[in-house]
Order: sequence, then structure tokens, then C-alpha cells
Amino acid sequence: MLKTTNLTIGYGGKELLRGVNCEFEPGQIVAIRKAGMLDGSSTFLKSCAGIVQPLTGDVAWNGRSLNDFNAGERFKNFCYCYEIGGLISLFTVFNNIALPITYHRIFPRDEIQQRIYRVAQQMNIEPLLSMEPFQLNDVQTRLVNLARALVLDAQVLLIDEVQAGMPGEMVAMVAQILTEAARAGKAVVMVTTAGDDESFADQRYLINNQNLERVG
Amino acid sequence: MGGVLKLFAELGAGVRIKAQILLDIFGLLSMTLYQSGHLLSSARRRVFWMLFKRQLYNTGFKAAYVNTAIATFVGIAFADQVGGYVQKVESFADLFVIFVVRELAPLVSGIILIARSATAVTAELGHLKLNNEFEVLAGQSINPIFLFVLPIFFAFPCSLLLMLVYFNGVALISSWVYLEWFTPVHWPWDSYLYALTNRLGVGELLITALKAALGGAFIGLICLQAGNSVGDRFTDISRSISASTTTLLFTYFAICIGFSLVAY
Repeated sequence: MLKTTNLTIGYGGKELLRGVNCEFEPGQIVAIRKAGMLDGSSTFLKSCAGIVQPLTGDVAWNGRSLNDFNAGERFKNFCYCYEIGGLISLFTVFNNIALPITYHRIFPRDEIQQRIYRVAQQMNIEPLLSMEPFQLNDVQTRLVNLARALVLDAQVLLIDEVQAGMPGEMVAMVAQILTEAARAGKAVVMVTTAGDDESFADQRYLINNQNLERVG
Repeated sequence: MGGVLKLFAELGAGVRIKAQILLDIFGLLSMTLYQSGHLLSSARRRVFWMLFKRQLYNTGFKAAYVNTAIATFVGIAFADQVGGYVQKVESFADLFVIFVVRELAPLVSGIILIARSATAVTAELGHLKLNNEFEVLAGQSINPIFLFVLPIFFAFPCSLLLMLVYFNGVALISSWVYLEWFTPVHWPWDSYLYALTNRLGVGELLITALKAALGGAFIGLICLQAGNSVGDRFTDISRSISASTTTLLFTYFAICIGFSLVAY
């Protein structure tokens, strides 16, 4: 279980979210609806992935604080999918997906290639694998970010506004992929905006008054 | 009194900034050496090797044409100026080694490396930083030093060494061709080559290699430090390039001249 305890996040002394206490169960999809610009939703996900240090409070996975995970373990368990960017411009899409897995020796070399092609086929992004990040549009970039998280087989998927700008059939595909990931025991936390499909989420939160408010 | 204090304050600020840059460079050097320990892992070496080859190709091989062109001109100019004054091929070889191999080749190759590649690396690193790619790597628990700095730190000395080899080789050939075709001096190729290679001892080659290794490493570190100093604005990149180019030229010239004074 991913648990945040009295989590306060912000930048440069400015608090974006204050005293957040949440529990996200494995096997469930959680949708957090954005409240607007600079509402702290992305920073919240990054804090849950250990990319951004919270101002106060703690994030724990199965009772173990994120601070106690070493760098490799943290990355293996928590994967943040960027809304914009998230790819290294020196590498092709294939190598971007393969990079962290190769670097941390999470899977053997042959298996990495098989996994990447399997996920790429599932997400219809095979033609993108040989492309450079600058050749991708925002939607394609988000799909590649999600593909990397799926290839990695992370336990917690933290997905930032993945549906933005996606056509309906693509949203349905993403919903199916995330549902399958949740069925496989992963905790899926996604940030959504108005108009996004949240029907497949098990829990819904709204950012209100600098906190997460459960609405469903 | 106020003017004097202001002058001291400005001098102090200038010294502080330079000292900060120097500390940053040495910090970067120590972190780079520490990160090179990851090369013992075959998986990480594969990642490194991919970026190292790319950097070596961009820095060393793609610079070959400009290096060749300048070396040809230098060889011709040298043969034209010196060929008429010396009677013996051995004397020509002595002067060639002193002027071209020891001084001109390292200086010109270093300037080409700074102008062509160091500025590009500063811009690239600045762009990566502005694009939040450092944060992306941190999110993947990969040290940006390993991925962005280490390949350049090792590729620059290798590239400079390659460039020195091209430069000396091309200048040597162009000098002989010019002497043979455009002057009354005619030395057989075999004796010309023998005189030059005879003059180039192990010590000479070692010092040249050291100049390339040290010069290349410092060029790499300085341009990387400049790229890393880019803040949040796009204009920081151009500012960093221009500041680092001045530092690079001074440092590289100091290394080359210092080495020559000590070694010869």
C-alpha cells in the first residue's frame, strides 16, 4: 500500500498541498482531478516517486518509508510518467525505454528487447521506437513514458495527465492498459483534468483547499 | 574613499566568481572520477559506450576535414618559410618538430576542439538542463554525471589525440609535397620521413599525448561546468558559451605553453 502521512509539498517555501494523508491500495486505480494551474498535482506524484522531496511528511510503500529505499529499488518500484518531456533527447525512443532497465540491470539484455517490443505492440507505438524524442508530439511522448513504466513492471504507476489531447479510442486503450496493470496488482495513481475519462478508476479525489478530498 | 571600497568590492566579487568556477570544475572532476567506477559493470559500460562512440565521432572524426585543411595550410606555409633557409633535411625535421609538432599542432587542434565541440557540448548540456532532463534521470535513479559528463570527459582527450595525429601527419605530407613541387628543394620521401620520425622520440610522443590528455580533459570539464551553470533562461546558454570559451582558451594555452616550458 502507498501511504502518504501528513505530506506537505511545495517549491521555494510556497506550499502547494498541505498535510495530505492518503492510502492507495495495490490493484486499484486512483484518479486525482486537477484543480487548476499550480495545484501541486504533478509535484504530489513526483513526491510519491521520490523525485521531489516533500517539505514535511512521509511517503511509504508497504510500511517502508521512501527514504529507506536505495536509488535502484526506488526506481524499480515507483515510476512517474511525465505529462511533458520525460525522455532523454540523446537517445531514440527504444533506448529511452531501455536505458533505466539496462542501467539498473533489472532484466537480462534479451528480455529487455522482448519486453519493449511486446509493450510497444500492445500500445501501438512500434513505429515510434526508432524515432528521436523531438519527433514525437505530446500524446506520443506520454504514451512512451507509460510504455517505459509498463516495461519496467513498476509496482506503483504515477501517471500525469496521460489522457490530455488523446482521441477517444486511444483513451479507451490507455484505460484498458491501466485496468490490466491494476488487475496485475499494481497501484495506479493518475492525475486527470476536466473532461478526462475517470470511469475506470476505483477511487476519485479532487484537489481542494490545498488538500486531496475523496469524492468517489 | 567610497570609490576605492567599490573597487575592492568589485575585485573581490570577481575573484569569488573565478574561485567558485574553479571549485565547481574540481568538484566535477572528482564526481566524474567517482562515477567512472560504474564502468566496471558491463551493463552500464554498454550505455556509456553508446554515448562515448557518438561523442568521439562528433568531436574527433567529424573535425577531420577542418583539421586536415588547416594542417595543409600550416604545412605549406612552414615549408615555404623554412624550406629556403635550411640545406639539410635533418635541420628541416628539427624545426618541424619544434614548431609544428610541439606547438602549432596542439594549439590549433585545441582551438578547433574548443570552437567546434566544446561550445556545442555547453549548448547541449544547457539544453538538457533547461529541458529538465537532469530531473528525468534523477527520477530513474541514474546520476546525470554518468550519462552526460563521463562520455565527454573521456572522448575529448581521445579526440584531441586523434586530431593531433591527423594534424601532424597532414602537415608533414603537405610540407613535402610543397617542397617537392614548388621549390628547388628536393628531398627523397624516404629520407624526409626518416629524418622526421628519427627526430620524434618516445619522449616527444609522450609529451604530446599528455598535452592531449590533460588539455582534452580540461576542455571537457570546463565546457561541462559551463553547461551545468545554465539557469532557467534560454539566454543563459549563450552567456555560458561565451564565458566558457574565454576560460577554455586561456586554460588550454596555459596547459600547452606550461607543458612546453617544463618538458623541453
